[in-house]
Amino acid sequence: MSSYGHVPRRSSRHRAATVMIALAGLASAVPAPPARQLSAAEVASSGASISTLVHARPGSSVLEVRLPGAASNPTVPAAEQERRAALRLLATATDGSVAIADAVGDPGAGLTISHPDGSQTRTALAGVSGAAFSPVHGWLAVTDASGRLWRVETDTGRAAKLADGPFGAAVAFERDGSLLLIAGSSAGAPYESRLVRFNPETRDSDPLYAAPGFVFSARQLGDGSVAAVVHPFAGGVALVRIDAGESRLLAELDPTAIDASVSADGTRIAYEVAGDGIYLSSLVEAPTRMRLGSGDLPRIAPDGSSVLALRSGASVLIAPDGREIDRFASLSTAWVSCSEECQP
Amino acid sequence: MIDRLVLGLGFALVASVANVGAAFATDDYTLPFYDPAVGLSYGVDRDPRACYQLDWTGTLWHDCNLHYGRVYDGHTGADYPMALASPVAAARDGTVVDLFEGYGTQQFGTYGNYVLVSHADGRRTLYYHLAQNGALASVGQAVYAGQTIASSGCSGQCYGAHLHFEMRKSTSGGWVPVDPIYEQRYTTNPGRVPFLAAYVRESNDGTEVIERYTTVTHWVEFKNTGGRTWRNNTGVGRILLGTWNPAQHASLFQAADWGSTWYATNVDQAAVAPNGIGRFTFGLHADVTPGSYDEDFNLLANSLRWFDYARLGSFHVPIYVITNTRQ
Repeated sequence: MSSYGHVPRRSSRHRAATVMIALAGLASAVPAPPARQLSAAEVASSGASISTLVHARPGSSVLEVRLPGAASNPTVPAAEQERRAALRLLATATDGSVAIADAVGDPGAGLTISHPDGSQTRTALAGVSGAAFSPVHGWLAVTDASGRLWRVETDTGRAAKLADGPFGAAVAFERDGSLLLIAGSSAGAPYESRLVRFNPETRDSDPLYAAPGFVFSARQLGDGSVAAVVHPFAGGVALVRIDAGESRLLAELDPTAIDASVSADGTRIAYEVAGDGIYLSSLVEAPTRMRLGSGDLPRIAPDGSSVLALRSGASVLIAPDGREIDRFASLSTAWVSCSEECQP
Repeated sequence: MIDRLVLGLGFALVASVANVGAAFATDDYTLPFYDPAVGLSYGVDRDPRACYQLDWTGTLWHDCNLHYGRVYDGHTGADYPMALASPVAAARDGTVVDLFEGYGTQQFGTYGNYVLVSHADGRRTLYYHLAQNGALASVGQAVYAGQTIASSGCSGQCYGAHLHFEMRKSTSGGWVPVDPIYEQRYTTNPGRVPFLAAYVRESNDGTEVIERYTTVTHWVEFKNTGGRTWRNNTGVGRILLGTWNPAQHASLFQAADWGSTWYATNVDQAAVAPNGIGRFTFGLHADVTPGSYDEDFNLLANSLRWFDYARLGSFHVPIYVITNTRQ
């Protein structure tokens, strides 16, 4: 097995603590953001209801979320406005709760958690950028505009800071409750970043992948290994698999590939080449690369059977052969979180 | 990178200390753009603690607020608001070591487009939030101080078009951000754009009367109001005077001492430091029909960039060609 990039050995407790301090900075005086709870009636009367609809599809289901409008920025191109609208949907929980950014690209916008009964919690976290529901507890891991990591209780919205970071928006839980985070060189200009595994209980942090360059995103695969999309210095975008302290190159993507999404078994990846379209690559024995047409923000189904994307002001479901097989009015869609077969 | 972040927290000014930065060095770094009207919105926070901010003047703030013109919490670079697609200049000679340009020009998110340049002093400079396909140099390419290497944008965590310019140095703990303003790393203090000039004076009050078929010698002086030393060697970046409107047009008044049909002369002196005055001496030869003419000239950092013609005084030479009575 060839090694791709630099995978630090799993650290000792002492070393992990050192890393955590380096990431988190010194003791800080960041006040907890205000939070409040609204009943379903209060939400309805304020016109801020968030409704969800599950579309059952073979293999996986699509969650469509209808959101109250956010203020648009007339200086931002229409396609980017649509993308930002789609990115407001931060995370979905197995109980049907959803985490919503009040706006994307607004440093003052906060976080709303909408529950299946219509009630909401709102947390005034400035510029919330990424979130993931914990699989084993009733809380949400959230990163804000400054790259800080927060623990937000889903029932109250109360937030407690876990680390200063800075961490990127790509927040993912592993099945044991640990977090995969992207630790950047800065919140505003992370030209260099690395992948870390963060224990929210102990707040210890272990480096997982630290080759010079940056890590776009990471997820745990079905076999427990971790897939990461990385950009090494000197060029290119690649998918690597990290397992037991070793990293292995799975695929080299287009050098300007963005928004890559990996299937749960690590055999397929969808990504966007800005200004060109969406591509789907199969990573099995005879690797293939297929252009699925125009679109933005591809998200591959957990089983790899189709790709959810933005196209012409709507969400569309695209088959591996490029056929558009479904269309949803809302831009805010996601694959339904599943508890066993396709975690996380 | 942030132009309007409101955290709504109180602040306390904790301390203010004198700026103790090192003296600036000639031909060190210049501002990474060309428009002298561009100003700093937020500088580097030199205090790593969350909600403690140490700005380029040495002022320490204990809050999480924005302080326009100074700093915001956790900022690792210097932000310069500028229109989308503004040219971005290499702050010093160096080599491009990395870039990414796949994001949309105004695509918001964790990451943005950038160019990273390594310099001979061991530092690196980062040019961030660039336009899509906005890198104008390639990895491994040597770039010259003042060379256009990128086009600005608002990709990444960007709340208004600007350039995030960051300087890092290598330490035992890795690459750490440093503040070029506090350390007075710019060739001038405050920093200046690389190439800028102001008209001072010229021979014959700026007007030439030339007898047909003869040559006169003309000179013009400009003050170096930019950040780079003007040189007249043969290398890239030497400062020369060429025809303008349109650039590099073949002049009707090319004299024997010109380098080409459009290239009149180099700066006379071997080196003209910032604030110095450079003279450009060149011949004007008239073969044309007697009459009234006008020739426009501009300064060029050779192979890099023309100067801002309006800002150097829209230099032109009215020329009156008269009949040669000796012919």
